[in-house]
Amino acid sequence: MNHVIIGNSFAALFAIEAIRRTDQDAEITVISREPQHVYSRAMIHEMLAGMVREPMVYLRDWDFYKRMRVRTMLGRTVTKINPGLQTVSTEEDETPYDRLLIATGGKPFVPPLNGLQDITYHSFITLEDAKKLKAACENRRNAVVLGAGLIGLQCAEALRHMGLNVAVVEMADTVLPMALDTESSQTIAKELADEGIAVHTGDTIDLIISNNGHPTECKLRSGGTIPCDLLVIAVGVRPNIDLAKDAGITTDRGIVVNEHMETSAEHIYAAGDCAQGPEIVTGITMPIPVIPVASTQGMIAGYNMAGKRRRYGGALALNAMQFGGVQVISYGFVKDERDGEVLKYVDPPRKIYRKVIIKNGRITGAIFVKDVDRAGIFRHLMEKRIDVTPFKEHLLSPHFGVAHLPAEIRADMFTRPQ
Amino acid sequence: MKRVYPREERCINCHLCEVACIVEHSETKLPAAAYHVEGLRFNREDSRTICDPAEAGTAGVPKPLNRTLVQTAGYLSLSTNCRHCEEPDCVLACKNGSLYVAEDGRVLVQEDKCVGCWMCVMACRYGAISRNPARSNVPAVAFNGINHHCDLCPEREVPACVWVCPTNALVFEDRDDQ
Ligand SMILES: Cc1cc2nc3c(=O)[nH]c(=O)nc-3n(C[C@H](O)[C@H](O)[C@H](O)COP(=O)(O)OP(=O)(O)OC[C@H]3O[C@@H](n4cnc5c(N)ncnc54)[C@H](O)[C@@H]3O)c2cc1C
Ligand code: SF4
Ligand code: SF4
Repeated sequence: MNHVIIGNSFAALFAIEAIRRTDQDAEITVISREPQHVYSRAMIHEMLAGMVREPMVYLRDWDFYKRMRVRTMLGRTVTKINPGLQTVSTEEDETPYDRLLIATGGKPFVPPLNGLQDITYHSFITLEDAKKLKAACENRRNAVVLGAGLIGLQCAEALRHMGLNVAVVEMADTVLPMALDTESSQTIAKELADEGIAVHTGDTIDLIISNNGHPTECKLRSGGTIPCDLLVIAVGVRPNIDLAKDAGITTDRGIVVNEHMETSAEHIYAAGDCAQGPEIVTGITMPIPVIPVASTQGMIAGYNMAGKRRRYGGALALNAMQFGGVQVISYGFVKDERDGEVLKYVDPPRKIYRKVIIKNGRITGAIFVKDVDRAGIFRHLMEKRIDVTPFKEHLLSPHFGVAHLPAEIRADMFTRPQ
Repeated sequence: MKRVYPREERCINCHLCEVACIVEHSETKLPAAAYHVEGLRFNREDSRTICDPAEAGTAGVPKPLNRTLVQTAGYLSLSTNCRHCEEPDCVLACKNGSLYVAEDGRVLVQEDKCVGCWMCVMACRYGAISRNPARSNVPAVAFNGINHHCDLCPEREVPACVWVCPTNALVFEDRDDQ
């Protein structure tokens, strides 16, 4: 069987390992636009800030492709998928496939901004972006980051760590508007302020003033003007669906896949940030652009491609992040409290905050600030759709753990191989 | 593969497994030294919320960090640790590939690579991972530490927790075919 994978990141990596585990003889080819060895995008801010050594961003040892017997076509861009012919085209040649995995991830969304066409601005998605930004930081003093999502804030923290003045401009009223609820985002906003990052929420850039292609100032909608000699656009990442769409594969916000990671086209699979698969709390399909989902979808796709039928019941949105000295772990829909019962535990001096939202006995959202240990048990409760009513009053106790779960759930978790 | 399984009906909540675990992973392998000298670097109670080595030992009783954890609710107690899962959620979530499945099936962490992002803490549904604040690969990040979980005692035939348990409330068995 001849497998071709477009992309060389989390989804691709776990697909390769699953295919190789299932089929020793399979041929595997990886085609990726980026020339680097398989690396983590989520490490580029620490790379930018010089906090980690470069080897720490690579996901596997240098001999990974050799060990997995993968043919690599790195630094090559796929321009077209031809489902009828079962080939993919690059600028130079065509590669045939028996099974194809699209793992093209996301691409930055750049909103129209007055004055943007006159300047060089930065995105912050790839290792190359980070290296370019690092080079551009020399002699710059006033960085502006548009977007206070995870990527924007990580970039802002890194730039601040490098000694620049940093302002973040965010359209929504809070930082991390998609990921956090009001309380937790206020805690993070305070950490950022303590680090000396100026956060302008409920605002946007109306005009970028520049001189000879270099930005000098940004005029904000609220009326103010902030100095700017370096602009990073981090408003969001959109699923990279163009190849699939052009090939006639069903797309929505992402490439639509079923529980087996199959697209609408025969023998073509999709996984990771480009895909839109089933979500577990709602049961509907949606893109969930986080590492564990990309990896798991990649693994499931790999098994199915290699002929081992595997089903993925649905992904849970989940994330772990840290700003300043505050760690946050979240699961599901942490803002949607409608018709739900909300349990909270707060300890403001220690910045501890924990919240669980329960609807019809099932947890639909949970967030943990600072006290994050053993949070993963909540993932289990949510993914297995376990009725938490019998032990609800223990959920937010600092000692809550597996001993509080019903005996049959404990037995299922701890008496058989997992 | 052989894994550690708790038998909660036999557990007497003595926490000896935690002691054995700490001593086995200490430098001296002497209980008193492990707790009173090496232990000053940790504080299990505080690491839950403070996670700052500098603060460990200033509040409460210093104690090094165990990899197996006795969890209790009322009269029930059971010793829990890493399941060494076949398709580990922690490995699927690890931000930079620090976690891996070794050839013998154990799930291990590269201690000099882990960046303390706690994606694994988020991912592990068994709550088996703790944060080790005594070691840090990214010191510029506040409260940085590394992943800390059961390694099945590489130097022993039977893990220390199982070996020490006075009531056989922990067993080391291959249940793969059950
Ligand atoms: C700065 C940053 C920080 C992040 N932090 C976190 C975090 O803390 N936690 C978390 O869970 N997630 C985080 N994420 C998101 C996480 O990185 C993604 O979910 C993950 O990388 C998705 O993996 P993927 O395999 O789907 O695709 P991607 O990582 O997006 O990779 C896509 C691959 O496809 C290739 N490609 C695309 N188009 C083509 C083409 N036409 N031809 C050939 N190759 C192509 C690219 O070169 C690349 O190899 C972060 C992302 C960024 C950018
Ligand atoms: S740490 Fe958790 S997810 Fe990872 S192998 Fe152990 S039990 Fe499984
Ligand atoms: S804390 Fe370490 S082991 Fe855990 S996910 Fe992050 S890098 Fe991987």
